[in-house]
Amino acid sequence: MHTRSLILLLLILSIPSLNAQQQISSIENVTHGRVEASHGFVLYEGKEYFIERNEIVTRISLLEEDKAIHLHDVFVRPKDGKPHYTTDFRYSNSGILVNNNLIYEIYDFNIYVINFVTGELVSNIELCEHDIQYAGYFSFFDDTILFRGEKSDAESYFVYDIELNLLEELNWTKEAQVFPADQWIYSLDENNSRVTGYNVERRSFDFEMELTESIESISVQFNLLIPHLKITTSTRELIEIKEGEVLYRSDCFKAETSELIHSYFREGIIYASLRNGEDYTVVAKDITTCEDAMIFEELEGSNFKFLDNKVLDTRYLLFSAEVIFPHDGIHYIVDIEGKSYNRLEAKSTILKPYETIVENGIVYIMGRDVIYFHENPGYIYLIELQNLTDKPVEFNETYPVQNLVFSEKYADEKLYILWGVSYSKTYVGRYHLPENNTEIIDNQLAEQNRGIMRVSRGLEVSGKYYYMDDFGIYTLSDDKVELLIESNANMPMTEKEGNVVGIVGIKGESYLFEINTWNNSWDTTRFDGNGSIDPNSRITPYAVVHPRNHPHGGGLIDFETKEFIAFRELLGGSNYRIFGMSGENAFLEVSSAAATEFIIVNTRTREFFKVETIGHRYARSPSDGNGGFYLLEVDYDPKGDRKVLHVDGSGNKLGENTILYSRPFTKKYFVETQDFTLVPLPGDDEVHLFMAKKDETKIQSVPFQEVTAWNHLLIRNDDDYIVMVNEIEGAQTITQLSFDEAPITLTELQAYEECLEILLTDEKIALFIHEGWEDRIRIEILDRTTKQLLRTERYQISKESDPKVIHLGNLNDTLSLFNFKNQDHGEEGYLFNVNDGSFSLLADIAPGHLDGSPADFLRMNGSVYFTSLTEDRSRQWFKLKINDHLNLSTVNEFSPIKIFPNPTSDVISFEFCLSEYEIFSAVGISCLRSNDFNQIEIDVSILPNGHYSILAKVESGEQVYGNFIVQR
Amino acid sequence: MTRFTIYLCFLLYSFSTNAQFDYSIDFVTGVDRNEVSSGLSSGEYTPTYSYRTGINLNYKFTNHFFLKTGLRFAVLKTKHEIDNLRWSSEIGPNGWMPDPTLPRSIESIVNRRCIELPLHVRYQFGKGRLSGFTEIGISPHIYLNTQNVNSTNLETVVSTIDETEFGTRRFVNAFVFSVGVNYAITSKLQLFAQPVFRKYQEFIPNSPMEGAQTNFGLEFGIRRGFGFGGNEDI
Repeated sequence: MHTRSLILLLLILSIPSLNAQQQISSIENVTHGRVEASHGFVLYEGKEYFIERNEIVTRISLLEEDKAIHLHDVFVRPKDGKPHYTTDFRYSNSGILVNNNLIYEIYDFNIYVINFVTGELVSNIELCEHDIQYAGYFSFFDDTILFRGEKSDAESYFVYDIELNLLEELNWTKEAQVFPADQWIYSLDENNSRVTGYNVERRSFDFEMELTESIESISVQFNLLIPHLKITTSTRELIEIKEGEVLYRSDCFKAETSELIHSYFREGIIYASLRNGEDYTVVAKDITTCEDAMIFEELEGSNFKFLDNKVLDTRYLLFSAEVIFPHDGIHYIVDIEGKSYNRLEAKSTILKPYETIVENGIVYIMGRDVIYFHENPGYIYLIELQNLTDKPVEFNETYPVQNLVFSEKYADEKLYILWGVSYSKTYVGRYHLPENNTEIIDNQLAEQNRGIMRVSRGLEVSGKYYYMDDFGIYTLSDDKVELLIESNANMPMTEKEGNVVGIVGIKGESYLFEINTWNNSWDTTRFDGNGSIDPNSRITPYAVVHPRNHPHGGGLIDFETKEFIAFRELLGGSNYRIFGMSGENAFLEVSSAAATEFIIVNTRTREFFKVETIGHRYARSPSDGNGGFYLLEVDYDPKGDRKVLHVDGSGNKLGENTILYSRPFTKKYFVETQDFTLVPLPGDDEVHLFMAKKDETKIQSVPFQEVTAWNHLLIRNDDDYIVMVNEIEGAQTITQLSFDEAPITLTELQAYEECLEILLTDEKIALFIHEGWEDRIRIEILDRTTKQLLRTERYQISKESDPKVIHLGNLNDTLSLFNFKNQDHGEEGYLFNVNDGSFSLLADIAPGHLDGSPADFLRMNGSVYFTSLTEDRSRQWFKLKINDHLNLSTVNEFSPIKIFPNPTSDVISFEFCLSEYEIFSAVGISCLRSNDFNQIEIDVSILPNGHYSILAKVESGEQVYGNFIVQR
Repeated sequence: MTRFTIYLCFLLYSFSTNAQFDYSIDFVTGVDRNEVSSGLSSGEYTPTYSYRTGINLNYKFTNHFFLKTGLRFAVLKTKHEIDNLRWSSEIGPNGWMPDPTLPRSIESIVNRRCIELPLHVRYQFGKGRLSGFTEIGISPHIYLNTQNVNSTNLETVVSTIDETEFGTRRFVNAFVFSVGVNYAITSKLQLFAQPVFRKYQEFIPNSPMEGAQTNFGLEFGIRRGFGFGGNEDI
């Protein structure tokens, strides 16, 4: 028998060991290039989705058994051939989850809607197309988003139908009050005279009501399942609007001389609390007849108010009253059907009905007593509806409950209540529903007289609850309270990657703590600082520490090393904010009443330097994104200087330049090349270009005098070669810039001429000039080296159309894709050949005069993708195959790499050079591999016949895969 | 491999001590549906039916607990659709010249043939003529060879790769869970049927290719008991 047991034990032990190995997996495999540090986890229909973003792609993975299974890549559309920097949706301007859609606005002025289950980019709203410059104040309905957008002239409200990709302006101004309620959006116009209701489902304004009297109050009531708009006028007319219908418009109280304090509508009856001098009454009137529906007599108390709740059966109603002595609260329950009411035993000031506990006609209500003179215990009240009676369940062994928290936590029919007690005791209590009793789970601190303590609401992480009182950090799970860290400073905790982190004081010292929620192990690291972690700061891998009455100022916490990086030289800073992190450098803005300072910190070397500033101003930091080079606009004085700084990746200041000007620079003109950072700073009467060569410690300022149209800057860059159009006294000059050399004028335009676009290739420069008086586009092609004019071509455009020539991207040295508008085809994609200056229509995707407005040039795997509006006005992706004939096809996803010939007998070839590859057999054995390949052909002649998979990287770093068959 | 050695030792150990146990032998066969999802090529694999057959040895620990081991031949079948084919004959000095007579896609069926060594614990409910049971355990699979059937509308080519072609023989674990019913014909002869769920520990080990392989099957067989310890029931 002993041997049998041993075998069984061995077998059982072997199974968990197998599972343990399965858990050793990483989500790192799903990264795609440089990924923003912040990730999103989304729980939907019981499945956990993992969403990460870098500047190009949103990658959605499904978390299963600790593995992130890659589901989809959604490409956020790069503009002008360059990716736009985006952030995780949680850190975007606004981001919400609606059903299975992830909706976010990012800084490229688009609102994206992504179905994170299927990975489809469901739709996006191009705010710029709609002349919207900012979107915020999001609300959402089933498939509709409501947001307020800032237009050039005024702010307005918009609704967007996700399914239909339809944006509609509601024409409600910023001043209008807007009340989203279920499938309705109501607005009260700026004159408080008209209520308008927009039906989201029907997409129409289906409700309108004029108000003849002034408004006393208007609000959305959520106490019923369907929210309704409640309006009270100054003459005590009551109006409720529900689902686009006037529920009632009652003037039952118009004749009342009493003051109307509170009203409530239920089952055709309006209940109202009235005040006449010192007399308070409750009346119930039938809405149709205004006759008394019930008579309330001998009510005690004053200021009767009806409790909004969804718990009680529609037959029952709760209202409460204020009393001065002997209690702070009185509560009444009303049986509408039986036209009776009863006063409850409940004495507490606060009655908080729980929405989820209604069992056998009993409603469980939490009460709290705040009388200091009496040692009144906390109560749970059980209201038996049929008898209109209540029965308090008393917490045992308690002193007056001063601080009740955590009172909505249920698990296994247990109601956990955490309460703190004044003067000496704190308990964690549990209320057990089946037995209707309470018990103290933890009173380990109950007998220790430690003075008044406060229990703070904590965090629920990984199914456990973490909370603090004045003496420590505790965890509560499975009926068990565990004191984790004995501490004496109560700072807000926060969550970091599933762990609980924060700062506590222990015996007069500050410690950073991190609790591993898996096993509740924790460690503390002392640091020389004092404060709390900014829960809003991105705490991977650094968090900002807010200084609190500490002469050393604040600092950063490095969670990798658990070190606190203090900024001892910063005195009196009161508001720390990371405004940029790049590589190992962090940029801090520290503001106080006196000044705002900018600090660049190298988080590895702990070195930092402070940038002298004069006044308040947000810093901006165009950088290379890898901790490399920065050009900072840092200081601001309305009357004086501004400064441009150039720093390297170690936080060292390379150079600076100061200039007098007053206009803020515009981010869209930042130019990053391989060798330069360039920031044009338009002034009132001049433009300064600050060029920073990345391997030199200086900044060159290139002033352009007498610039009158500073907003006509047009910059095209190609490595170290920059061409700029600026406008002087109404005439444009096209200039080439290079570092350490004087600007070279390429051409000067005549009056009424305007340079619309510049194309740079290795050998040529093409200038696209609008000849305003002729309604033509003139294309001048120059030799890039000699600047000699090689060719001039002209194309007619329609008179009424705005001239539009937009370079979308280069296909090769000769061919480029343009968005060009003419009178025959509208705005469509054209191929431009820089050798002969020819423009040829790619396809009239939006037929006739309709504009296709091609955009979103994207090159990937040798194919070029772009989007265009189609005949049905939806924007779709198109794929342009460069190597084949011009072959347009709508694509929904990106193909794996093409292998040819396939099947093969000896060699497989690819469209691109592979930097590394690995070939696997059908059962996963690695057959061939190379880490330094850089060829487009692989000799597979040694492989036997069969099916193989190849994983590879192309030169751009993109990972590709494919299947092929060896067959001889 | 080390873990496989431990299992093997454990198996031999259990054999060496079985003289005092009651045991039975099963002849089992079944069909199963193999599902593969690869993170890199979602949707590329089509769930496919295959089969397995072999014998089980059951050791009775108590009236309810049994240890099951055995030897089975199994085929793990996956089906792929490879399209965008470019045949050698289409590629000339001027690049790719499509030949419309050649097929553009190919259906590739991969039959991974392997030996399964189940190591399960069975808990049996009741002792009547009809009884239920549940099983849990592991099933190491040792790959033997891989048959590849490539079919187009023109031809079908079958090839086989020996598993040792590129090095050592492959080994992969599966976690197994099953419930089923026994029907006792006599006290020593039973029929049984059981749906089986297998979750393979890895899809393609040691490769960056992500994926998961699961297997749902229905097994049925006949069980013959042998008694050494006085208890004749199986």
